[in-house]
Parts: sequence; structure tokens; C-alpha cells
Amino acid sequence: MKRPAEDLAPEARAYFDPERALWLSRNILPHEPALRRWLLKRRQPPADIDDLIQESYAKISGLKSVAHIDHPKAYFFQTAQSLILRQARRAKVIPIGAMESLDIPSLTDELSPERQVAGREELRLINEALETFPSKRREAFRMRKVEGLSQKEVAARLGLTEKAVEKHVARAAALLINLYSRGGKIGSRASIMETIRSRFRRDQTRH
Amino acid sequence: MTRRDTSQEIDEAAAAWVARLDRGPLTDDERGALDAWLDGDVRRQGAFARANAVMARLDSAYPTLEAAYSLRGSAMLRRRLIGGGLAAGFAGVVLVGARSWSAPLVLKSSKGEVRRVPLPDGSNVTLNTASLVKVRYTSRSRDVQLLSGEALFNVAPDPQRPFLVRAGEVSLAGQSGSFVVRKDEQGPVRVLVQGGHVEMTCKGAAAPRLVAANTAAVVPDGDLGGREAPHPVRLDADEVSRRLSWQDGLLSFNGETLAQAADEFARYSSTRIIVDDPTLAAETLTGLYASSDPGGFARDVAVSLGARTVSTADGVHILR
Repeated sequence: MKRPAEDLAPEARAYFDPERALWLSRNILPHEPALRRWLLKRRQPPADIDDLIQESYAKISGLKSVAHIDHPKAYFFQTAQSLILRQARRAKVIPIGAMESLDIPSLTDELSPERQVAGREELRLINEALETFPSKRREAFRMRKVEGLSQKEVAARLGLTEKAVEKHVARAAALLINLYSRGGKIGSRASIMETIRSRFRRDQTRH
Repeated sequence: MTRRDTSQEIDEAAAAWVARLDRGPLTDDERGALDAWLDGDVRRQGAFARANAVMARLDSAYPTLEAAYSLRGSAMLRRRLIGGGLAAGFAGVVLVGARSWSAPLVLKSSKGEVRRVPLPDGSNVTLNTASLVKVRYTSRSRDVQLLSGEALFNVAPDPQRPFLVRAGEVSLAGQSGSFVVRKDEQGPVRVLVQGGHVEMTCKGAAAPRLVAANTAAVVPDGDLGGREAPHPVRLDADEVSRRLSWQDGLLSFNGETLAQAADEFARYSSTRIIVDDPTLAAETLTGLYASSDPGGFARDVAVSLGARTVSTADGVHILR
């Protein structure tokens, strides 16, 4: 099967495109928790759901253009649905629930343009997540993302190596990816915070 | 057969790659490694795209995030921001063009947005409302064009590459420091230097002029026709920080007329403040207001001037 990005030069790959990243952040990312819930209701095993979601992002981020997508939420759900059907055909074993009609809840997106950009509740959750960081990491991330210093400058100010700052940014990014993908502003707060706490505990034992 | 990565492992690797990209451009080797990693599993492409989307979302959340942080720092800000509706007017910024590996960068903010964007050399630019800036770095210079609006540049020192800002017929060259340039659709170009100094060249001016820290210059639109470039005016530190309060989503007035204040609010919000009564429009005012809340400003001012407000489809009227 041909990958969507195969015929593009590496520079032109849409998943490297900052404009595409912004589009995904506004039109797809906010719907991920809803898609997860929908897939769970359709009795997809949780491990498969993670794979399906990542593959759906790959499909959408590999598109040459997203200009034709009027209803990103529906498109996101349909992409996941088509991946399930493809797997089912391959496996020749049709999982229970996979062939149910495509009952995508509300094909139009309920996110208004204002809601597509970060709201106060979202910022509160981000801030809560930041509070769980060890202080050096929180400070490094704050200087990078809030003050807008480069990683190099952050390293100089905090007396860290650039590699160490990069690592702090990576850990922060991993935590926030988890926050967005499994909760964010749509999901239930308890489960997000549970996720954050358990990951934080794992971080602590690792270092 | 190699073990298949868990989606969790893939997410962590994707986070490591976006953090690496956040540091600066990739070397050819790293680029090869990233391509190879992405090609190894379709899920990695998806995880990488999502990781970039999360970073982009944080960037557009950034002005409000900054305001949220400020809440802890300053009691004055806390009162003002809560009073004015915590940076409610900020929306996402449109960041067009590649950030990490291709040279030209177009930065745009819409009405009511304030945003700081780091540049590849460690400098950063803060766009005020409705601003458009183009950035192009070469091995010889760091070229920035302010097409419209207002921007604060914090310039990282680089003796090999001057930092050049063009706005209309004015060019500014600096090695390091920080300065603000404002260019409205019509009218003068305004320059304010906060730290360091810049060399200002105006079209048709007799000679370039040095603009030092804590001074401001106003350059009339068009060719100066052999006249001298305007003399910078010295400002005290309070006045400089007052003129930079827009960075925190605040407008600071100190003796401006109500008409001037209404014009200033019009830059930040489409809710217009309308003052038809000329005596009222000429009243002067002092205070710090959230730029995103013209309605709150109008009510406060009406109370202090013994006037009242009426909201219509055109905007908020202040009348006696």
C-alpha cells in the first residue's frame, strides 16, 4: 500500500508543515478524546485504539491538502472507521461492532472557531500539568514556551547543557501530548489528572 | 522479527523529536535519522504529526499562558487581568511558513492578539495586535520587515550578522538590545528603544541617526527630502514600561484624551467606543485597562466622568 507522503520530497511532507500542525491542533486534536470514547463504545480493544488513532493522524497529516475537509471531526472519525474496516477485511475475522453502521455522532463540528483556540479551562489544565513537573523542568519549559527564550538561552540561564534543556522540553511535550490525547478540555478531568499523576510517579522513579 | 513499538513508546520518541526540532535546525545526519524513524512505522508519522500539533496548540495558547503565569507574579496585574477578563481577547496566531528549516518566516497576529515568537538565533519578536512581520535570515544579516502593526524585537547579539528592521521608509540596524517599531496604515513610523541602541536611516534624510536606550523617535511618513531625521526624545523608565504595557494585554493611559483612548482600543477590539460629545471626548484620563475589554473601560470611564454608556450595534457609546 502506497503511503500518502511517498511521492513527496521530504521537505514537502505535510507532517513537517507548521501550517498543517496548526490546522491539526485546531481541527483534529480537540476531537481525539471523543474519537477514543466512540471507539471504546464500538468495542475496540484499548491497545488497538492507540494504534488506530496514530494511524488516523498519519493519514490526515499525510494529505496533500486539507482544504476540502469541511467537517474535520467527521473526517477524523471516518478515517478511523475505514482503518477498522480495512483491518477486518485483512483478518477475515470481523470484530464485533466493526461493521455497525457509521453512526458518527453529529457530523458537523460542535467546536466553534472561538473554541478551536485555547480557552481558559484548557490553560488551567496545562497549568495544572506544569505544576506536576519537577521545578527545573517546569522552569526550563516556562522559559522556553512562556518567555520565548531559545533552548540555548534557557540552558545558559539555568546553567544546564543544551541537551538537558532539550530533554526537559521532550519530557514536557510527552506529558502534554498525553494530556491532549486522552483528555484535554473535552475529556473528564479526573482521568486526565490520574494519567498525569501516574506518569509523574513513573518519571520520579526513573530519574 | 523486531518487536513492534507500543504506541506509548512511539509517543515518547515523537516528543523527543519535536523537542530536538524545537532546539534548532537538524543536521543532515539527524534529518536522515528522523526520516528513517518515520518511515519505519506509519504510526510514528501520526504520532509525530500529533506531537507537532500539541506544540502548535501550546504556542497559540501562549499569550494567555503568559497572563496566567503573571497572575502569580504581580498583584497589580492580578487585579487588572481579573477585572478585565483574563486576556479574553487573545486568540491563536497564524504562523505561516516553516519554523525550523526554511528561511523566510511570516508572522501574523489578528486583532486583539499579542504573541512572542522565538527566532532561530535566540532573538525573539513580540507582535502586538493586527501585525504582520516577515523574517529572513541569511549568513550575512538578519532581515526583518514590519509590514503593519507593532512589534518588539529582543535582539540576541551576533557581531557577524546585524539585525535589520524595515518599516515603511525607515530602516533600523542594531547588534543587540530591544526596541519597538510601530507602523500604522497611515501616519508616522514610531521607534522606541528600550535597551541597546539602533541606527535609524530614514528615506531622504541627511544622515542616519543613533537612537539610544530609553529614547523614542517619530518619523513622518514619506521622503524627508533632505531634512534631518527627527531627534529622539528621552523618556524615563516608567514611561518606557508604560508604553510597553501592551505586552501584558494592558493599555496604559496617562493624560491621553478620551478620543485618543477610544482610538487606541479600536486597534485591539472590533467593539468600538464612540464619543460624539466633543467636550467629553477631550476629557483626559489616567489608568491601566485590559485591551480586550473596551466595554469595561467605557463603563469605568463613564462612572468617573459622570457619564453613561449605551451599547448599540455600532459599539459602546459614552454620553452625558
